[in-house]
Amino acid sequence: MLACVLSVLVLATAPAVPTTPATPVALTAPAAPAAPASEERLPLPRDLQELVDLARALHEALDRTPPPSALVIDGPSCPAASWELASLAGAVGPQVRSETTLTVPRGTTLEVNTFSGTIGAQAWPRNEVRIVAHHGRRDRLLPRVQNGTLFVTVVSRRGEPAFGDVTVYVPEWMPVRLSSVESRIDIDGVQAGVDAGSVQGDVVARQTRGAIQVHSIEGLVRVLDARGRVSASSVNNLVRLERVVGGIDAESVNGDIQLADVESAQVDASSVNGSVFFLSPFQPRGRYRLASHNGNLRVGVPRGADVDVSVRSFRGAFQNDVTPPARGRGEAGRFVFTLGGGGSSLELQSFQGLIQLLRSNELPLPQAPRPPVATEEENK
Amino acid sequence: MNDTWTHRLSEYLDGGLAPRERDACERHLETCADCSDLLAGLRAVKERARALMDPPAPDDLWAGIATRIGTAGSIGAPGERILALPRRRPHGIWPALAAAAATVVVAAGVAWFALGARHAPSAAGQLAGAQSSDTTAQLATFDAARVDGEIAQLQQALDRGQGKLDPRTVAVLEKNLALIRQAAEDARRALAQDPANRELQDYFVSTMHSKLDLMRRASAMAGV
Repeated sequence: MLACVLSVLVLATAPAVPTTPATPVALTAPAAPAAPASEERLPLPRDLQELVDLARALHEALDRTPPPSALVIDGPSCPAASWELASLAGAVGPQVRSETTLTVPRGTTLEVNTFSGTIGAQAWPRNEVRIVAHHGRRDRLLPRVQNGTLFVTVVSRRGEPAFGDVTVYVPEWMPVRLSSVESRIDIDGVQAGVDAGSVQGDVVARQTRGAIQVHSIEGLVRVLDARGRVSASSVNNLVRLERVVGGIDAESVNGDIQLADVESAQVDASSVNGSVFFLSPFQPRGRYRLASHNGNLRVGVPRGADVDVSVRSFRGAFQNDVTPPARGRGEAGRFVFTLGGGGSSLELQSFQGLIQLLRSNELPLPQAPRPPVATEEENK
Repeated sequence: MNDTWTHRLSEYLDGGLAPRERDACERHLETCADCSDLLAGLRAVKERARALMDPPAPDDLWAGIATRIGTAGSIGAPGERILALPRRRPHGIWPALAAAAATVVVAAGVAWFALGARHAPSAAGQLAGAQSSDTTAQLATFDAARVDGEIAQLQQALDRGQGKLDPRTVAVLEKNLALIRQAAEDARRALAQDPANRELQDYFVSTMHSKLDLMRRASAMAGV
């Protein structure tokens, strides 16, 4: 099985596979218990975990490469005993490309739902919707319009959501709703509002306008160059917002929150176990609330900032490198002071983390996570 | 008497245990007279506490105390106004503080039971919706029993999701629920020591409300 894993990984991470018909690459796996073709739910094989790991490794590898349109597994019969295995079949089986362009009335909303793979939504200057998908040979791309919404999904023969890399080019006026169990979601240039959530995948939004909501449980959430209200959360991973103009609500339980170069008069950012980083100018009469229970807060204060600061560190510590006299530590530690003429409000709360107030030029921006994914067009 | 279940009886009483834990606890109670007696005592306290009111501390409580003990002050800095509020520390008044602390702990315990009784877990329907109703007003005072109840509800939902969801996702959600549970425990302890601390109350009310809401939304997104 390990040999199979390694073989598949080597091929899956190899340079781009041509999208035009290619000679299938056969992977021969070691002998494994064969499953009757007619029965799809068998007792799980003992090495199920290895298969699941294989599926995950493949998905991660696929995240960095174009769809492997010519990979075939020739080996053990893998019962569809779990959704991981089912998606594995879609991920490494023969891939086909589907493409369609639809004209939809203004006011239509796009809704994309897939099980795994990737979802991309990219605005383009046309009044029509183009859908490009790579999916398993036996699966199909299924667009349908109902009640003012264009639904797009990839389904198996039984009508269940299946693996698929789906990219949708949408008019700028079209709001989008994107959801998946394990897909990474990329949004680029959408101008009319975004609601995107993935259970396991990353969610990245760039160059958007209008209110956006981006959420994940396990993946990171990243928003760049957005204009409009942003609500972003990841239960277990990083939330990073850069160059956002508009109100911000950023939440996590076990992930860090990083806000850099945002122009916002209302910021709420909180985590239970992660740290919160803020490096941005304070807007006049703006309100900024940063909190973490166990994590640290690091705030960069630009020179000349006019802000009323309230610090509450219940069991943690406060380090103030901006106004040297206001330094303290201990239970029920609270500090209230004004920088410059005041006007905007900065509330910093941590139960047992370290709160640091630093000059902006002394606070380096944390390294960005891996670059946003290339769009389908860029992959060509 | 110091067995596994001694410290979890109040959770059991509040319905805060997961089904498997609840069953195990009940099996234990059948054979442990000490725990049965303790549970009966807890029930009695809870019943008596129902009749008690929980007067909220006035917003200006600390300001008044600070004025009377003369610890409020300001620290100047060139070009900036700085006011550092004092941190409460004992100064040779241990006996009085000990008596006050004992009173506070008892009062907090009574209030905890009373609030728990008033706000018995009621989040049954909240998991179904992606966005729960705004309960900030109801949580104006940190309600440990209610938080425990909501955490238990989420845990039960995850238990039901076992086998349907990816085990990795279930594990992630459980880990994060445990973090929130620990934060709630921190809140309970901190407020038992300092129940009049309005800022602490507000901090935990808003934190717990938003994080539980996030977990509800996450659970709904995961299909729980």
